[in-house]
Amino acid sequence: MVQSTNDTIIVTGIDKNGRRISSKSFEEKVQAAFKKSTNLRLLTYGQHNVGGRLLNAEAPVNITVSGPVGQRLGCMARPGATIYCDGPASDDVGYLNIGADIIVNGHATNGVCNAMAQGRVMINGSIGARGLTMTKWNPAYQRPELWVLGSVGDTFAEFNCGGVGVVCGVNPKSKNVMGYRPCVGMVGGLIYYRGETDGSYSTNNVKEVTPDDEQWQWLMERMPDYLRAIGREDILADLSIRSEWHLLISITPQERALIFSGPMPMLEFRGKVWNKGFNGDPLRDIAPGLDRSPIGLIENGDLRRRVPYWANREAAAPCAYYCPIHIPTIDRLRLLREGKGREAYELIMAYTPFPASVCGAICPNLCMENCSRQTVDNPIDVALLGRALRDCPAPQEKPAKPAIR
Amino acid sequence: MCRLAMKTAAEPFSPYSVLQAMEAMREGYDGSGLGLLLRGVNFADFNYQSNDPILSGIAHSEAALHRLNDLMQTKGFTLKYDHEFVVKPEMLEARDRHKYFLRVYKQPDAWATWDKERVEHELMLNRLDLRENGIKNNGDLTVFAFWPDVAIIKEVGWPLVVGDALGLSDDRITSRICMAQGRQNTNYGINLYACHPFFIQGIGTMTNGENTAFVPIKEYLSGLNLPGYVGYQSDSEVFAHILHYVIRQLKLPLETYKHVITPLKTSELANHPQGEFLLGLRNVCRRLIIDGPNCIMGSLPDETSILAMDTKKMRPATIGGKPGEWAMASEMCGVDAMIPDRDKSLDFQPMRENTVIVPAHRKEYIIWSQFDPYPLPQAA
Amino acid sequence: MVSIRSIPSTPGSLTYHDLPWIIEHREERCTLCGRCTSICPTECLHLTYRRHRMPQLDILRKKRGSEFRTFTGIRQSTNLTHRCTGCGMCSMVCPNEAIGPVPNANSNRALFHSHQKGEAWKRGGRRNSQVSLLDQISFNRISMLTDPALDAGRHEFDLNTLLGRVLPPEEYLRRQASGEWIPPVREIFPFVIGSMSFGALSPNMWLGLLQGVAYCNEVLNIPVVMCTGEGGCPPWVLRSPFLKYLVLQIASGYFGWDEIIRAIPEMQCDPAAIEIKYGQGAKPGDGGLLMWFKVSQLIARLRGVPAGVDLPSPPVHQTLYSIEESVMKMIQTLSMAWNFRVPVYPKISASNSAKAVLNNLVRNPYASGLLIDGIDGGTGAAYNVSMDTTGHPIASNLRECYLDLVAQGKQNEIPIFAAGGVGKNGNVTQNGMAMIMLGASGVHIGKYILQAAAGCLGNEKNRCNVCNLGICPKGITSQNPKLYRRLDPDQVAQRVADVFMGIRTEMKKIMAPLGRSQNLPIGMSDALGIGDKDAADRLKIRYVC
Repeated sequence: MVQSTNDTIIVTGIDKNGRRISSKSFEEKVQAAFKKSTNLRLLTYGQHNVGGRLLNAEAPVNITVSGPVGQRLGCMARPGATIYCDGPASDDVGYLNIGADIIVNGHATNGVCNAMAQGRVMINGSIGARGLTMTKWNPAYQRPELWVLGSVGDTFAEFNCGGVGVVCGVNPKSKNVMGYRPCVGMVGGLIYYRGETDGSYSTNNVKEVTPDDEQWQWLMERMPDYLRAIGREDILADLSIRSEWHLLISITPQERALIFSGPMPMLEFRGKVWNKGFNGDPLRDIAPGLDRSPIGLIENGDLRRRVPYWANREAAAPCAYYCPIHIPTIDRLRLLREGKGREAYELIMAYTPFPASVCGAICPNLCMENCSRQTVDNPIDVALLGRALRDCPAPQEKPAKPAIR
Repeated sequence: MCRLAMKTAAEPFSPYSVLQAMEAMREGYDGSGLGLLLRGVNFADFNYQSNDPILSGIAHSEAALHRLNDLMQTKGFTLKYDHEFVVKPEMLEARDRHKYFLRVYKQPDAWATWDKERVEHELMLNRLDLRENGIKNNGDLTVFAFWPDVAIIKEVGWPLVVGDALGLSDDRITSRICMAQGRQNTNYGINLYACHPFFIQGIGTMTNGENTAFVPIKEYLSGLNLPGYVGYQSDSEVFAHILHYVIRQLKLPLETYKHVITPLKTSELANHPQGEFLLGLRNVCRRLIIDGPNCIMGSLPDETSILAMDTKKMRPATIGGKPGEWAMASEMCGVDAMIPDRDKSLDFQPMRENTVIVPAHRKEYIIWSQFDPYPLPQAA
Repeated sequence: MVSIRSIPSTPGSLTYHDLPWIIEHREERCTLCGRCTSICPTECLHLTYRRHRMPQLDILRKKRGSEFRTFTGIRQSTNLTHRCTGCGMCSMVCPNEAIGPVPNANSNRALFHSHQKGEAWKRGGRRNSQVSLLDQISFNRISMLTDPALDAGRHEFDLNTLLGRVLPPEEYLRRQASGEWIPPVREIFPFVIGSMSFGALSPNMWLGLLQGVAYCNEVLNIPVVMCTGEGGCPPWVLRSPFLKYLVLQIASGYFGWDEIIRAIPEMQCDPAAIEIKYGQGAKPGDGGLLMWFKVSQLIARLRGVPAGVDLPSPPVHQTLYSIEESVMKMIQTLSMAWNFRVPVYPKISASNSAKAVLNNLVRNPYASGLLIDGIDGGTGAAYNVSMDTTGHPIASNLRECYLDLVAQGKQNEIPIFAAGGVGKNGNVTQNGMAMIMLGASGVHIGKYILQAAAGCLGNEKNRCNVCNLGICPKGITSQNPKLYRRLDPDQVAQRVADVFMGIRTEMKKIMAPLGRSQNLPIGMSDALGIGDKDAADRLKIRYVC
């Protein structure tokens, strides 16, 4: 509360002709007055950024603001200052406040405490939308606090990053004291509240708990101070019933990671929802017993898609390839060239017992038909080779190998 | 962001008092324009009968004024009163304002036998005709309204300066409702027809913010081929036309407006007592869903006033006052400036589901929520 | 080893340099494991033996000579039936990065020989054109002034669209008051899985898609629907609670409708809608054909036909005289089947005459929408000439139709869905949202979902595109269990869920900067820009550069 002293200086926001002066001129007048006194009474007419930026290390700073109060009351206000607004206030009360106590004796509109880092904003009424957003908390200092007697508007505490909100729910403006969808993106801090809500808070960011002993003690230690500041000590008892208070507290990144780890694994969905919808295999009547279980790309056994076909002979010489019993004529000729007549004969005998009569007489000699030599002069005359074997003695019978036991 | 201020009172008051409230909010907009809608008009120099239509506009040249006179005469209107503004042209930015007119006409005698619907239709056609005539003649004639009991003034500049330039502080015009918008010029060029409030057949609205769903809504409204759904120099004009469409074309209760422009989600409608009807309504009026941020203030012919928000509640607005006298403004300081001596604890800021309605009796305001039971239209 | 003279040189002879895809095989990495030859869907790869000459130079003795060695390696067939389609399965299974197809940069002579044995070239896939007008559209109207742009992560977005006839508000109120019939309207996600039949798709693919769609609806709260295509629907699916996520298609072949009609009394819920197919963007004016080798016992049973026969869907419905009458009769019949509780809409191919069809629908009290399928749509089988050259690009066709409705003030009443090339280069959300802002109420995606959810290998360079042959190496469009069992339905379903979650986020990322969140920005053409002046004029959107 403002201490009445003799040296209170009054600064007005209306000029001699009854016209509003600009926020810039008003601020210049305020700063000039502040050089003479730390107790100021500001009669505003909607000027912005009133009451902040006033620092005096020696004496407490007491600022009272009346009249139509413009936006950003207590903007960038300093520790040690108390800014008392004797009526309702417009948007962004306590914007970037770094330590002052700002008291609004009435309602405040949107954006209360936006980006506030320290200090207290105490409202004797309700506030509009988007209160306590983007607040900061430097652990080297105290947490910023917002105290609201009534209710808060929609989208409260978005991206709150350390601020403490206390919403007392006294004569709330709505049955839903926390407004629609509070705490979206909130990563730190906590909100005490009392009264009904629609439960629309962001479950990805906060959880609702009841205050533990430490949290309850914190609230009860500070409550009288707040009620004194707004002149409502009379309701302290009403606000001291622990069972009526709830807490919205930010969840940890680890807890959040769990929430995002997937709403439901697909396997679980298959079991719980999908299969149940059909009471069995959806194709059981039109394709009974059809195995549709997954397989790999390369499979063996029954699932093998292709049977191997060995086509080595396709790469053989035309004579050998076209020969019905694939006699390797090339090898035979090589042995003959090397003078190994005997070996050549044995080679042939490994393929046919009738080398002379078939190759030399009966066979149409497909080998010769396809011989590549014929494109040069004449094909190899296999018939001749066959007939040359007519007089060869039959090979000796080899002794039988003993049976393997 | 444009600043809005509106006051409604049982006793007529000077629009200048609302302009002073605009002044408290001065640093929120750039003074690129002022629009004023007065309803329940009183002229100090003339005993006005509230069913005579008032023609509001600007003649930008002598020739336009003559043409206007001729046109009105041809149409069979008789001039009963021509309000003379005490203009200080040197205070105005615009140089081509030959004459501001607020003229009371007597309807053609032939209209006496017509029913209300036809008269009102004819009045609108006459306004559109004059507007068209002005556009054809290089914009030398601007017509804002031609309607009983409603006067509209629009001008470029700071509200209070415009008020002084037009001598609005002299109490020669007073009204029971005054809607004022101080303009922040944004996407669209400064054009008098782009200034709020927008008006059609007795229904006036003003908004701030931007309606990003403008083009599809405009295309839909234009496609209805109803006379009067023209203009659209501003994305906000559709708010007036949607209100008109809901109330006058569909003949639905005022509460429907919010259900049309910002319907509840499917999951919310599933739990609403009239959810099925409202879901169907949302489907058929889907092209009229706005995409704010917007604050909307409006007034109706019976002197009912409304205040509503977009769904994301991205705009501030407060209503406050006392029985017989209520004020709404973009900023709390605007309300404070209009009605300082009120019970401030009763002030209310509507949230995403609310429509605040001040009925014509002005004894209190009603906070209506979309979650409340919806008054279904009577079955045939 | 084959002598040089034995290699034939006929008019149809091709070398691998003439083929669209060339197999690059690295002998030094190959372990001769044979996986590539066993996986190759066209049996293009084969093992060969070659003679390598190794030059020998003996400098001291001033002699030159050669040594020969045999090497074993993989070669590709130059026979067009067994040509490489570039699918790349060989490189997928190669344990040693030894093999893979590369597109032939040379002129593709194979094209001149694509007509074989009296048959014109047929294939699956899309028009082989990488150009996409939709890709060129950008979203330019960023909310920077009066209103802050929205936050895709923070704000709530209504992304759904309506499928069904929407009455004029006056008429709705009148019917509501008098208790008359109000046409059914479905609230669905604007990206619909387009019609692909059980038959064109394998059982594992089709059921995997539906499972994913069910997951989107029941777990993710994304109301995705999918269209059956013409080929019926398994009887137990018809009797399941998942039927409500299915749009049943009826087309000129009427396959599977006996089972559907049989199941109607036992259905737990109504289908999402009925689609009457009159045309398809990929092959306008052409019918469908399920080749005999895809008509397995299962498919035959499902479609109510004998197995192993060709199943043609003629280009036109046999008993109907004109599309106007057809539309009227069919919509009436199908609406009546479910007592007018299910939206019924026709699907046509994009065409200069689409507006005429649309205008017929506007005046038909039971018509619930119109699906227009553009030239870039996909198909499981069509003549190459139909796919490449017949049809109309979707963007201008849709835009014309939408603006026609706007001129009549009917744009709220008949939703137009657009299809054909949405996401063909992977930009599915951008393409779809561009369509929506041009006036579509939603888009159908078919090929994209195969590519994204099942790893379909096809692309706009004629990669793979063998859907018509039943040899799909991924098991998507084959009825051979040895192929379709390669596809795990659970994994397909998971991918469907991933894809739609991604689309949902991207939609918000597109809508938020435009300041839109409360309603799908259908017809919000002021947000669009394109760097092509002519296209901008034609689409009536902003030219940006």
